[in-house]
Amino acid sequence: MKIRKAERLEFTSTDKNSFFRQLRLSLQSLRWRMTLSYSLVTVAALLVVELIVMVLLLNYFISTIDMTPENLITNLRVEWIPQVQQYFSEDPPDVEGVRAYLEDVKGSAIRSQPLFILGDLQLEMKAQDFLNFYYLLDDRTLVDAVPHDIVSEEELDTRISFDYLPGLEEPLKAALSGVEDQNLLYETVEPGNRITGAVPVFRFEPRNFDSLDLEANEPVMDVERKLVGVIVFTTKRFPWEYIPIGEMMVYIGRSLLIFTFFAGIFGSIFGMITASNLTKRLSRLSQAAHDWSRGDFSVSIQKTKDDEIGQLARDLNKMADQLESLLDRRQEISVLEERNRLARDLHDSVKQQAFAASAQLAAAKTHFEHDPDEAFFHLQEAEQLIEKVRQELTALIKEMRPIEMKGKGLLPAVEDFVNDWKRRNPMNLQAQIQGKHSLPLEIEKGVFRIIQEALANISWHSQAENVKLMIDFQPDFLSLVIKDDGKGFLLSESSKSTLGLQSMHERAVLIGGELVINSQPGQGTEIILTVPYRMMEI
Amino acid sequence: MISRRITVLLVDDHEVVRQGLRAYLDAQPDLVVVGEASSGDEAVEAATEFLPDVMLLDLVMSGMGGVEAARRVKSFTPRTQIVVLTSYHQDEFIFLQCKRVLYRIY
Repeated sequence: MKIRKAERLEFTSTDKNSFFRQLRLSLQSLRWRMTLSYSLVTVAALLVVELIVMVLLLNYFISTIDMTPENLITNLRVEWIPQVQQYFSEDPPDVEGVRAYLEDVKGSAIRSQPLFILGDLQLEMKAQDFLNFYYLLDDRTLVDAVPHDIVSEEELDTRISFDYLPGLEEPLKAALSGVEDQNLLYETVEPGNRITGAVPVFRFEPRNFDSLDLEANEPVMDVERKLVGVIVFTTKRFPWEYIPIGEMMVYIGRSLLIFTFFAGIFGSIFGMITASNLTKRLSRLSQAAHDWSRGDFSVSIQKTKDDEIGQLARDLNKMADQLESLLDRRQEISVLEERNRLARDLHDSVKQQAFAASAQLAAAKTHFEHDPDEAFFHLQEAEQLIEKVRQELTALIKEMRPIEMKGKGLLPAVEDFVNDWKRRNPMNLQAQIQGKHSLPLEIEKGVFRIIQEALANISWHSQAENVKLMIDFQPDFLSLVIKDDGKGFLLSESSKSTLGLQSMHERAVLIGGELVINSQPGQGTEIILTVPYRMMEI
Repeated sequence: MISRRITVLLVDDHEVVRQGLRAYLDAQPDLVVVGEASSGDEAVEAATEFLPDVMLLDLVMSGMGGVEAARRVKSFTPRTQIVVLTSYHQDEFIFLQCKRVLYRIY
C-alpha cells in the first residue's frame, strides 16, 4: 500500500501527462462510472417513456379521426361544395375560377382541426391530408384535383372513365343522376378500407321568384335544382399518408434533445448522490482493512445498512476479530517459544559452566591446605569459567533486548546488528546487500527478526567459521540468504521449536514470504527467505 | 588403601562439567576417576572396560539417553552404583524412568 502510494507520487512529479493520467484515473473510479451509468440509464428510460407516449398519442390521433363515409359526405356538402358551387353554377362553368380558387386554398387549411397540443406542437388535420379530391363537370370532365399533383396535366379537361378509381363507378353514376341518398354515394374499397365517393354539385334556380336565395341549401320544393358538377373523393390508404410525419419528427427530435439534456442532469445528480454514498461506505471498509493490515485492530467497521455491504462489513469485522485473536495467540506462542529457547540456551551453556566452576571451586577448597599450587590452578579454572558465564549472559541479555529499528530502516538496522554480532562472535560474517526497494515497516520488521533469529542460532549452535548474509532486492521480490559452514543438523531430527525454526517460518508467512531451510549434518546450514513485493501491495 | 579407593566413571556431554567434576573428585583421597564418557554409548563402553564402583551420569545427552545407558550398565555390572546428575528432579516422567532402573535415588 505504501509502495503504491510512493510510486504514484513519483509519477506526478515526473510524468508530463500526469494531469490526463489523473483525470483518466479519476474517471475510471467507481464513483464516476456509476454516475455515468445512472445518467445513461435515466436517459434511456426517459427516451423509452417518450416513445411510448408518442405512440399512444398517435394512436389516439388516428382513432379520433372521424372517417365514417356519412360524416365525410355531410362535411363535404356543408363546407366544400358551397365554395365551388358558384364557379360551377355559371354557364358555361368557370373552370379557371375553380382552378384559381383551389390554387389559392391549396396551402391553407381548408378545414383544419387541431388534434392535440403538446408543447408547441399543434397538429392540424386538413381535409386534403387524408382525402384526395377530384372536381368534375357534369359530363365527367376533370377540372382539377386536390392535391393538384395527383393528376397529370394531360388528364385535365378530359373526361374520366367510370373506373378511373376503384369502386368509383356506382357512386359516380349515382351522383351524376342527381341521387342525394348518402348510402348510394360511396363505396368501400379493399384493401385498406378506403372510401371512394362522389357528391353532386347542384345549381339552384328559384322556381318561385319570391323565395330567397338564402334558403338555397334547404331542399325546398319550389326550388329547381340542376346538376352542374361532381366532387369525387377518395381516402388515402395508410395513416402515414395523411399524418404530418415531417412535422412530428421535428417535434420528436427537438423534445428528445430537451429530454436527454434534463435526463442527463437528473441522472448525473442522482448517480452522484447514490455513488458517493456507496463509495463512501466502500472506502470506509477499505480504510478499516488498511488499518487492520497495519495491525491496528481497534478499528471496526460501523454497520449502517443491512444490505450486501452491511453483510460484508459484518463478515469483515468478524474476520478481523478472529485474525486479532489468532495474532494474539501467535504472539503468545512465539513469546513462549522464545522463552523456551532462552531457557535451553541457558541450560546448555551458562548453567553447565556455572556448575563446572563450582566444582572447580570445590576442588580448590579441598586442595587448599595441602597443595596450594593445585588449589590455585583450580581457582584459575573457576575464574575463567565464571568469566565465560559472564560473557554468555551478556550476549543473551543483548539478544533478549527488544528490536530497535525505529527510524533506522531495515538496512542500517541490519548493519548495526551485524557489527554487534561480529563483536560478540568469533565467526567471520560477510554481509552483502544488492539493489534497493522500499518496504512496508511490518515487512522490514519481519525480515529483521528472521535475520536476528538465524544469526542467534548460528551463534549458539552451528560452530561455523564463516557466515554469509545476502540481501538481494530483485525486481519482483526480496531475497535473503543466510549461509554458514557449521555442523548443520538433520531437519527431521531437530526439534523445530528449539531452534526457533517454527517461529521463523511463521514470521515469513506473516509477511507474505516463504522460508526454506537447507541443512545436513556436517554440511552447514542455508536459510533462504523470499518475499514477493506484490504481496505487500495488496 | 590402594585396593579400596572407589573407582568413578564420569558421564556428561559437557567437557567443562567433566573437568570440574574430575578436579573435585580427584581432590578426594578415597575416590579415583577411572574414565570419562560424553555420551550414552561411550558410557556403556567405558563401563564394560573399567567396571567402576560408581557412575556419575548426566541424563540429558544426545544419542542414547542417560536412562537407557543406566539400564544397560546395570544389566551387566549390577554392582556399579549409578548417581544421576540432573536438574530435572522435578520432572515426574524422568523420575519414574529412573526409579524403574535404579535402586536408589538421591
